[in-house]
Amino acid sequence: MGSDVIAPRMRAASEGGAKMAAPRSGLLQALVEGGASGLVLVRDSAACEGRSLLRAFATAAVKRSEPVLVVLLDVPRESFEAGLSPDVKQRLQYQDRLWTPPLPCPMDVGGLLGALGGRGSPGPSPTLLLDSLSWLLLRMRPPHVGGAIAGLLRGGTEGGRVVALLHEDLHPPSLVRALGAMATAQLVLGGPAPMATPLSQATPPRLVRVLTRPRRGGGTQKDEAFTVHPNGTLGVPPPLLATEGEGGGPSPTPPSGGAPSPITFRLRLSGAERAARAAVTPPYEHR
Amino acid sequence: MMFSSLEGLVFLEGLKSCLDLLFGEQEEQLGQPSPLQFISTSDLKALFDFVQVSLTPASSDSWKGPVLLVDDLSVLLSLGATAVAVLDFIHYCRVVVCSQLKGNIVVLVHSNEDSEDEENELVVNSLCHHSDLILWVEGLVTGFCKDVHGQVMHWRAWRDVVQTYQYKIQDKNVTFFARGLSAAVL
Repeated sequence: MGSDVIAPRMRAASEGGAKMAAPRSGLLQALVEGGASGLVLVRDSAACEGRSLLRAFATAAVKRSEPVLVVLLDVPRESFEAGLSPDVKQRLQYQDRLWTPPLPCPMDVGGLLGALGGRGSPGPSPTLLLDSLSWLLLRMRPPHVGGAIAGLLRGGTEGGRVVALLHEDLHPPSLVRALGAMATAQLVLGGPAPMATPLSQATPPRLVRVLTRPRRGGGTQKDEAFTVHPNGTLGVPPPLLATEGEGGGPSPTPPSGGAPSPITFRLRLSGAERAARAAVTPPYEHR
Repeated sequence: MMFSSLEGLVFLEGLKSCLDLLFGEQEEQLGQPSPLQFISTSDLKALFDFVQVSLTPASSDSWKGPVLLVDDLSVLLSLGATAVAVLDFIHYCRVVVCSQLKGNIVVLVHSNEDSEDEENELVVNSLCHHSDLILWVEGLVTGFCKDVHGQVMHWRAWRDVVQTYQYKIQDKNVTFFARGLSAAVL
């Protein structure tokens, strides 16, 4: 897939903007609150939906007074807006011609992508939400889709972002890895998050693996828990159950495009486990 | 083409019509292509047009909220339609039936865990992403049971909460109950 390597930029703290989250938590929150540019890939599956994260991106962008364009291919506007507050709904712009009758027959996918080009405009960095990238990949050849995404990024304002929803259970792993190589950040949705402290919530926290590609190379990978409130805002629960190493923070690893870690057991102890081990009185004494 | 129309119900017997189309001498009415012509053309537009015409209410109709029942979508793949063509067909139906006519669509598809039918699994997974409600019906892991015929898991989109019920099929009804609470057990 021909594409430019997109150098990610993490915004510094600014007035009214999101502060850079501490390494131990909030990497997802930093991304949602405008901390990333370029292509952000939200990878979900039928069992772990990712559309709620797109809503969180939309809500955060509206609160930053940024223009938001939502391209709807998978679901109609009513389905996407479910879970958004009224003030956010009225500030979103939509491209949903494939949900507005009369529909073209056959579907004019090329024309749709052409209409999205040239969206760059002066002013705050725009956010384009694509729901979903999988819809395009099923109807267009991957190189064309990759070129279209690169065109969207080039046509956007400096610092803008394209947040694309990818249903990874619909595509071969090789394609998912190739798309991951284009992305500055990937959010891989998982199931319920193992919390250190059980939370009594109607919607339990969910797990997301955050993969980022810093400009200097390498990559970071961190598992975080998150919730999306009924008004579409992102909630960050307490830390996960014993997932961080002794040095604190995520270990830098090369972006794997989502390949699972080969290690099937934990090598490190959490702070609570170390304290518990220190408190155990051994049945012997060293002399 | 075999379809019957009673008040409020339009029933298309697709399998019988397929046989007539393939082996019979069916006379095509002028200006009305068969809804099942996709067997020879791989184009489901005629089937969609049939759905649209059947469910769009006439001025004298008082029916609201039409329901499209598809039994079953996997057969379209078996008859030669591509997975993307089937997904496009459902997309067009959703626009007309759900968005325009404020109705609902209920689709039956088959799936197996160890299925090697990639196109069918693509359709199933794609529909799971698009559905507001998923009912996953399967037999009991323990095998046949006279009083419990299977279990159904249902979850709504974006809520990640799965509820599981067991069921028993009767002559004209299906009874649902919580797991382990069949009337035969209590």
